[in-house]
Amino acid sequence: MPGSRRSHHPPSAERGDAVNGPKLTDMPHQGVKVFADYTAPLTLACEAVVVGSGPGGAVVAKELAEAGLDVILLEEGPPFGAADFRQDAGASLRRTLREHGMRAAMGQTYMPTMQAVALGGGSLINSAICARAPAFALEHWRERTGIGLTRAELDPHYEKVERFLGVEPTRPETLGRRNQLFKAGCDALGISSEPTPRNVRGCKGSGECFTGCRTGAKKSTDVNYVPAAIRAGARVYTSVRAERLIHDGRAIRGITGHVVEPFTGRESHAVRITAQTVVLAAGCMQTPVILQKSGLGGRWVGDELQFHPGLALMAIYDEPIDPWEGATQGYHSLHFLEEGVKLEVLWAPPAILATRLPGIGHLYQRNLLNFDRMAPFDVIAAAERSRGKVRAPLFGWEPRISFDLHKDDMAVLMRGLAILSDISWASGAVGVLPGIVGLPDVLCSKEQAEMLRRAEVRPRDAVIASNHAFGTTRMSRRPEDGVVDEYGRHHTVQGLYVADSGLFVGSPSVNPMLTIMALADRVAQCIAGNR
Amino acid sequence: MRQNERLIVAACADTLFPPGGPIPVSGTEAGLVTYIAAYLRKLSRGRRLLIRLLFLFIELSPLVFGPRRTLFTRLQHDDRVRVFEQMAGSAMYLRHMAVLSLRTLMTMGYFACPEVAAAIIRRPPKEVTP
Repeated sequence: MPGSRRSHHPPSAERGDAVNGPKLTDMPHQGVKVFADYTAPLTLACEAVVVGSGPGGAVVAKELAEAGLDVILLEEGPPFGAADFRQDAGASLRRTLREHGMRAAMGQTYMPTMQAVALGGGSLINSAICARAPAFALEHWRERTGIGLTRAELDPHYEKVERFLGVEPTRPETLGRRNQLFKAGCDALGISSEPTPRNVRGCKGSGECFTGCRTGAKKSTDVNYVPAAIRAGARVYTSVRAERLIHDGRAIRGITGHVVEPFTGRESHAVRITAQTVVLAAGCMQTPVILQKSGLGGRWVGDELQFHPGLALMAIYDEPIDPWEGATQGYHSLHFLEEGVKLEVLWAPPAILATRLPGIGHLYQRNLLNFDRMAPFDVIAAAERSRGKVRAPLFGWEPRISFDLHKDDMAVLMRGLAILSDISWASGAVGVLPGIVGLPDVLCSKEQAEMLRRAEVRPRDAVIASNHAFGTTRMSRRPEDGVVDEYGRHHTVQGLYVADSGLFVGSPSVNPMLTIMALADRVAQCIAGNR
Repeated sequence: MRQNERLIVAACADTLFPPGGPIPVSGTEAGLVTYIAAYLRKLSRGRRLLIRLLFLFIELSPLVFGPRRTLFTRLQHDDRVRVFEQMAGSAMYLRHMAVLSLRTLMTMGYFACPEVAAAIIRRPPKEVTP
């Protein structure tokens, strides 16, 4: 069980450098405190405490530590090494995700949303896509809350993060047939597409991103930013849940919480950390809970929750394509981005994807045997008209999440699904599984698939999921319009910052990780500059 | 898991993955009852309760929606298949989601059986080495 044993890692031999990115080391978690290390209540002091070790928190911790601050990084989940990852989908979901992988946003539809609880946060189990938000998306943010953030201003931060992560386009030799077919379909239709830029080094195309990279190729923050923070002097405590801020309404004084057992969440020792600066980077669902439980739930905290809802179809080919081979999401199309549509190749644990195959009994088994001829493609929508909320529960710490998908955003998703169908047929598919209640299980021709354009589909008729969530502590120029300013500074409590996807003022139009990291880098620069 | 829950899981497992099919391993032969019991043990109390309610919902469903007014576990195989098919196509969101959730749980367990995985992923991905 990760986190239940002490770290006995030897010192890491190599330091990630800013030019070539971090180098692979076998022992990336050297110095990380784990559950078994705690034998008494923790009472600590530092200059800056960072809550969350995902893409936001890990960047802030490293940058502040390198700027000379005494930093403590808290993470509720345990560290995972390559040997700790499980290929059984059920075991993997239960071990690496909040609420054992059963978290969902409830509204007019039930929408599963996966949020990681592990050292490295979402970067540990996402498909490593690193995409910059287009200028038009940031312009919408400016229009909405008056912040002065532009793409030109964010570009240096993007570049810095990309260099450190070693972001590069998916290499041709790791694409596999699934990604190649998507490209072929896009090419045939004149739709632009590209290999996804990813934070991987030496990817073998094993398609295991969502259950954790057993090859060590994925450069999640637990193997680069966190070790770099430690080398710069940061102290890292895993299995510690941050719960309440210590503040007087004007200035921050620290944070309290509990040590929690990995996988069960059982509380043990109390934790109290005093600090002049607290950076909340617990993710856009957990950060509002901490604020609300601390008496800082103002007008906007937890509101404006947005997702990139996703729909997928399965293209069927007349010969085996071995979809389990190749980069998880190695190709995507930004062609329709301004319409709020991003198209991607998809992969996930086979058992999860197979659930979409039609039939019961022997028919289901027959379809499973044809799984090697199928390729899943997905569309995510910017969904700017849809909103939800995050609220702290009365008891416990798991947020109550609500979300309603606007009918116009549903129509955008269906338009994307129809384009994916076109791409499938253009790449030689002989059938398409649309996965929509009320439509045929299998669409057998391009003509028949035209019904995807005409069908009036409600959110409840489709299996919609989303792991891109943002907006619950949004940036604004004026305190009346948001929670923090454009540098992540809380509008009323001095020394309190936010550095996760809660900062977003709207959709970034693309996968959010790189924008979270660039904004976190900017937040860290602001904190270091204010010393 | 209680004995009645084991019976429900076994009935669901062999309805989704019956013996004598194209994949020569049934749901119960794939160890789904043991898999689900182990899965439940490791969940939090709240999540475990939700899944238990799901099993209960399946068991009682025929009493309300047919095709015969008896418990799911007392139905013949063909009628159990009809129950799942009706639920999958139901306009009632709860019924639809219930069978989808059950299907996800069962399929995860089915794939966890090495014989099943070998039958479906006939050419397994290259050995993964760090």
